[in-house]
Amino acid sequence: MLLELIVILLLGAVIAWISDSIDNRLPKWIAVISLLSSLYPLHPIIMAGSSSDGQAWLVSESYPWIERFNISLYLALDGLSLLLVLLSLLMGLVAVLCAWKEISFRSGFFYFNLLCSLAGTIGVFCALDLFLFFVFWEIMLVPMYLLIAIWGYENRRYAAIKFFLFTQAGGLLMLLSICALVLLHYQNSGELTFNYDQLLQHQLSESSAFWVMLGFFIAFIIKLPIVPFHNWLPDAHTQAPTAVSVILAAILLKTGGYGLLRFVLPLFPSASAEIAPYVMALAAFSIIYGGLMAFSQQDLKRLVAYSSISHMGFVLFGCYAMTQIATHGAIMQMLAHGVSSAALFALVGAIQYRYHTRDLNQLGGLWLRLPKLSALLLFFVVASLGLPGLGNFIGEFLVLIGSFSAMPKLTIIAVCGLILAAIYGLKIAQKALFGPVKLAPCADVDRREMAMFVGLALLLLWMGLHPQPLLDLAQQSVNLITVGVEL
Amino acid sequence: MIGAILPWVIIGSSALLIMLFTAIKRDHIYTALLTISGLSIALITQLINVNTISYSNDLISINSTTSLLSALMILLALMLSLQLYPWLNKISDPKEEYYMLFLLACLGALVVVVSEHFASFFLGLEILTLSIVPMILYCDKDSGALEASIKYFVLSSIASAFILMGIGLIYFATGTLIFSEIPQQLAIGTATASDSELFFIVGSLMILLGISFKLSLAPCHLWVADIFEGAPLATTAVLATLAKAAVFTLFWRLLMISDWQLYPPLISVLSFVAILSMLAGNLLALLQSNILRLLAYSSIAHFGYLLLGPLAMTSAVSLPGGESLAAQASVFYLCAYMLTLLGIFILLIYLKNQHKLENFHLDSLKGLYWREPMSAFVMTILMLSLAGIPLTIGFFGKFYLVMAAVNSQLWWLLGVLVIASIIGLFYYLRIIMIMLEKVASKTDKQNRPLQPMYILLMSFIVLMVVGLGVLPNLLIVAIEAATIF
Repeated sequence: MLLELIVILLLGAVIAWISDSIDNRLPKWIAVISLLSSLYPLHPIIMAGSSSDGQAWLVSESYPWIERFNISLYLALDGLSLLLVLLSLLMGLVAVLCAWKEISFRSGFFYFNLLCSLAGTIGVFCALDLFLFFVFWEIMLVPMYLLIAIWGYENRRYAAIKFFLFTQAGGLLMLLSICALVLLHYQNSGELTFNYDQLLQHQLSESSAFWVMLGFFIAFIIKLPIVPFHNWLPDAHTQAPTAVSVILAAILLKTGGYGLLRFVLPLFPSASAEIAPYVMALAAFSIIYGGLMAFSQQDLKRLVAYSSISHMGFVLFGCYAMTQIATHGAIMQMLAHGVSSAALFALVGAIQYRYHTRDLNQLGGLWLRLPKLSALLLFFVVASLGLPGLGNFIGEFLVLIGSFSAMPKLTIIAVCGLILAAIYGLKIAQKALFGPVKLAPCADVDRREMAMFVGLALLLLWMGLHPQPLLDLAQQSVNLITVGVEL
Repeated sequence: MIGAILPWVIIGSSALLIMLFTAIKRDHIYTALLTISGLSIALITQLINVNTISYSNDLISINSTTSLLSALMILLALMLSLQLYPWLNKISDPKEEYYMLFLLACLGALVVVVSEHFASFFLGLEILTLSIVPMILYCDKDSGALEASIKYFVLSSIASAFILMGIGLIYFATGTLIFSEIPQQLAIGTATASDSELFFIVGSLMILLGISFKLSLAPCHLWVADIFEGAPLATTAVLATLAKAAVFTLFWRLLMISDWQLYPPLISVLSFVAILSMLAGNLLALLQSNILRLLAYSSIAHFGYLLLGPLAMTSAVSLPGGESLAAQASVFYLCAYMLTLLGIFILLIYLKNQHKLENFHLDSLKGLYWREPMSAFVMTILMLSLAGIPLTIGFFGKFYLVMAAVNSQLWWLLGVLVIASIIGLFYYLRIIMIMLEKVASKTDKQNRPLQPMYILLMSFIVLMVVGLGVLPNLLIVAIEAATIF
């Protein structure tokens, strides 16, 4: 079922590439069709919902792959990964819609790469064999690199290489950790396996667990990204075409948070608890630093990119608070940030498509020229700064309320991030939307864009007003994570 | 016995037949066909031999491991020989001798792989080296090739001299030239004369020096870039794949058979060489603007990675089964690297023949994606395989090696491997990047159809590199069956 999901996307990718030679408008339709049809294998799971209590996985399947190392194609979904897979498919759709008019050069190859990286990301969310996880982790990287390197803006090569090198550095450390973990497990139990469930049974000794954990941890916080390793993100976002920024912000960053929740915390509970205070301090620093940097940007896209760093700091903060509420908050924050940042990048892309600039000084008075687009921009900006009633608020609020009992001082520092968010959010509104008119009249949002943005806005509203179904769905996973920590 | 050495007989007699025919009547196409068919028959017999025939005497030892590696080498030679004809057809000088030298080099490599005695090892090595020297100079009258061949000749003679001296010292210490007898004899020797261990270590270091020259491991790597650049492409390919694979195999067997791991000085020297090669190779490759020089330096780095295999075997702290894991990892990585590298060379030979490349400057690859989509696509896959990105054979090779090294807890070497891989990634990505560059030239519109032979070869290589990357089990099963000891 899950393998089908990935295969559908890969097939769609190949067909999109081939169809380019027939007609260059075909690939985008094929991309939409394959994204929609990949929902089909998921529908029984969505229908069943969270009702299947007691079982660890909503659905799981396993096929033998490399027998020498006992590696299998072990794919499974629980609530957390189901939510993230759905987010990926939806945001994939948004990305295709963003690229609709923007990409005309070699569109077949573009959609090939787009669908491949989506397939890789979904693989990351489903894979429960560590080797398979690593393979998917890397697979999503290469097409992403090509997307930035071919279709990006002026400084694309530099950005693409930086992106690749940072992620690959983390990836190699993770590979070492995976090998070490598997071999230590082999030493203890006499069984060579990459299976997540089986690796979970054994706890490593304290000293080795710390080093093995560190490899995973660094790989994931590079992806998240957290401050000392955040350098690639602003460049990659600024240079990437809109659709790629959407994927990057909405989905790729979430793989880091997912990795922490799925692997680092359950596999190394005691080592994680040990470093938790330092990690939370790092996260708080990241929140503040991201906010300050966002405030000082003139480039709209760079500003949104730095705000992502700040918001992802909350995810890390919530993960390491080690309470149920905070973990829920981290998951909510990932979902809400996925939606709101995708919308923000799409809006910035729409502005750039119309005026060929992202410079805040050159924009201004947008409200008079593009009233609909400006209203949408304002909506998503206030969503991202955490207005109650919208998804991001729930995420941040849960993170903070859950962490306060554990780390009151650090939580107070992290709260300042919310104030900074309000400041840079208002800066966008003030500089781009209001003020003197500097721009020529231009066509406002068309029906395609309107449908997309309204859909995203409703999604955020739903998350903000009635998050309980989402929290219920993730409950099982949260139990697993926090139970492991308490032991 | 005859079955075991049949592939050699076939290759050797093909070489002799070519010599004979050339004396009577020169005919290029028949010579080429003879070479190809000789190699194909040899490959088939060799493949039959794997796992069925084992034979050993004092000079050679043919077991399943060496048969598998011999088969790999004949396969590489066969693939390369398919690309010789279009290249040699273009030159005006006599062409037939090249095939003879090519087959002899191949024979030398095969002898080196199975040798069990210092005499057969040295004999094979010299056949290999002396055939390569004229191949470097072959029908390329510019000064680059001349310089390259003289450099190679002089330096490899010095390396051979070191190896001979080392063999002499080992003989002095142990009184035997047979690899497998060395450990016992040494044990007896150290009991009577206390300094024979010292002689053994010095002798081994001298052989190590000679071998690191042949494998172009740092710090004996200075020749490699000039020769890669100066020699004709096909010769470079032989040198980079066949010759190095043969010497590495021998080196690895030597380490395995003669218990060198009991001597800490040897291990520390070897670790030092590995670290230096990984770092120097990758750092120097960063600075290159010629693709051949870049490949030369990257091959230094790759053999540095490969040394992790023997080192993992020698480690004292490995888990049970660690030795066979390391052995399999070495063989797998060797296969992976050889296939990938040969693919790159075949691609370059093709592009050069079709005048798609003016020279081997990196800039001449510019815009290859839009001029030659298929070649560029294959090249990307091969580069990703060299860089070790998943779903290519190169990744699984690296994974295998990392597993073996983690198992033996070679943390320092692994740290260097990670750093070196990241540096390496940078220039592999640079090549991909250059191929992606958009060039607005309308001159390349006369797209000639691709040769069927080329399409066949390329699809075979992609099938190997990606197919074995996705389903490495196929190769692992073969290697596992072959490396039981």
